[in-house]
Amino acid sequence: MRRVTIPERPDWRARAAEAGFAFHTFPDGPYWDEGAYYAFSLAEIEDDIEAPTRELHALCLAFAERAVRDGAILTSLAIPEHAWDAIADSFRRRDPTLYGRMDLCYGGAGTGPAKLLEYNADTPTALYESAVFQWLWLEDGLARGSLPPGADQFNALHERLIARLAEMGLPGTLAFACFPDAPEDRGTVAYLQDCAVQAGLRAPFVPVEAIGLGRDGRFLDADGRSLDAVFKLYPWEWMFADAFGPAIGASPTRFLEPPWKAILSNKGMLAHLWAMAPGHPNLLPTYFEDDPAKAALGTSFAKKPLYAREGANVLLVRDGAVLERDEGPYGAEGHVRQALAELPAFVGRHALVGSWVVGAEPAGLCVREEARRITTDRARFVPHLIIG
Amino acid sequence: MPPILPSDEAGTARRSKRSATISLVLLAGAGAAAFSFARRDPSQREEDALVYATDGACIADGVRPADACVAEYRAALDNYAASAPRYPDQAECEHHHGPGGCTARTGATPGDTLSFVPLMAGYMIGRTAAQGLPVQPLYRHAPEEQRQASAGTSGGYCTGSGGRVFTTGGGSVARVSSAVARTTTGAPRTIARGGFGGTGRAVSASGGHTGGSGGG
Repeated sequence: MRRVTIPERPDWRARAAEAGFAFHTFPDGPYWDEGAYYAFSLAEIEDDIEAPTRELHALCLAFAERAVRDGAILTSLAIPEHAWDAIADSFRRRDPTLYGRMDLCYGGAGTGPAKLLEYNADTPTALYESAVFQWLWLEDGLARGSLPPGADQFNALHERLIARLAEMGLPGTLAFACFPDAPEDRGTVAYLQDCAVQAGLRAPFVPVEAIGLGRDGRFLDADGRSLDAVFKLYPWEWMFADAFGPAIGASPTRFLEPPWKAILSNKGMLAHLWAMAPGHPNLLPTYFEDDPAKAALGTSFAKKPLYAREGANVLLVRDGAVLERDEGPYGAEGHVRQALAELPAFVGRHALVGSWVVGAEPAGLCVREEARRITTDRARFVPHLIIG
Repeated sequence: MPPILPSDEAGTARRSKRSATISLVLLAGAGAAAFSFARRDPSQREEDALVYATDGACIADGVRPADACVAEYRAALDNYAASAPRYPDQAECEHHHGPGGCTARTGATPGDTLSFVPLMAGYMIGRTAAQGLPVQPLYRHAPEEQRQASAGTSGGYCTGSGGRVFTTGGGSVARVSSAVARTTTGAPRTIARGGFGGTGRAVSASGGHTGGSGGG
């Protein structure tokens, strides 16, 4: 794993416009950053990222199998009791899952195994730029001769997403919901709508706040029509806390991701995984903040809220001193304490490997980097390739 | 966008780890990309509609024939009596239709519980008969007063099935999504809206992160 700097394509913004990539730049700086790329070896991809991702996902499913039957576990995850049936029923029905993204701490061959930092199993973004624009970047670079001949990329996302959407047994219409005024969310959802159409589904958009509830328990679109299936880029813990939360369990409307993904996206799962598989090479020792066993971590650790996204409210402590802290609105529901795994730094930028899962299979990779040690929603997306 | 095939290295035996093709049917070439999607969605077609408070307002406007105004208003009143959305209590009803915008109504049969329905604030009809739009009673829609003010539209109405209707410049003309204009409610049913999203808005309002984002 190397970071290689190259000149960006002078016309990449035009290429982005052609491919429908609108949110490539933050109001105050770049998001898509092709002034560099990360080069992986095939062995790094297959042995260090792909295989552990497959194994970790299977471990997560084994945990979910236990969790849905155990109120003590669900309580430890701060999942409200009115959500338990919806979660357990969706798992027993084997409601299918579309995708997720594991965030891994990995610095390349010879630096030790990849460590699971967390599993964005419910509402991952950065999907379109991973699946499409990163792919187009590689093809364009190969065609122009600006990238190493023969380079490949770990990125079967696009074809896997379409195949997965086609094979899930969904009704003919899958509605897509998110906040329409959050550009990255809306962009991610627009891309998945595109994939759904290619999978033969109708894929209308419904703003999350326009969803209604009919007297028969079915959720409704803005025009009052029944929704049979909804993809929501809006996390389960918020769904459950909302006014309609208690109505989810009895509703015939099906959701993607399914309610049982609330277990996998919860950082409390990381403590349970460590208890299930202590010493697993791809797991970090993790304990609930109220567990005295956390003392085993000593004075270097990461403290993370059970619910949170984009690095919010994460606290990093090394040798008793605060290394980094992100403020935010999360944490009232409790925290876990995880052994400190510092992200590898390349020319002063900390790189986070995102490993995509479609269905139950690893399907691709993205790298985001940030000057800070906590990867937040300000991180830049840097493309990758495989060489050698 | 036509499918793009990956560059094939001649004689490569190794299976590629990337997608064979990338095809976009909705996003490609959109320029403004995600946001233009809504406009490209055929379900977002719009209809020219007229909104009046009464048949008298319709006749005074002079766009529709007077006898049509009278018949359509009567149809709207019938529709209102049969299918106004019902709410279990006044607070829930006023939450959707504004303070003073609701009235109590007992059920059609003895023993039906008391419920609350919005007042009929007006009705909507197509500009021409050729559009084939049904007559629909309209109700005041409460929580969007600020948006109307900032967007230069007025007359924040909703239909019985929850679709939004705005008139331009305080007049009678409305551009209405075709789906809203053509969806009518049959039997009355209790509809609740806005039950998702509140937690996310509250979280993003109290935190420093991207407003309203549910992704990560």
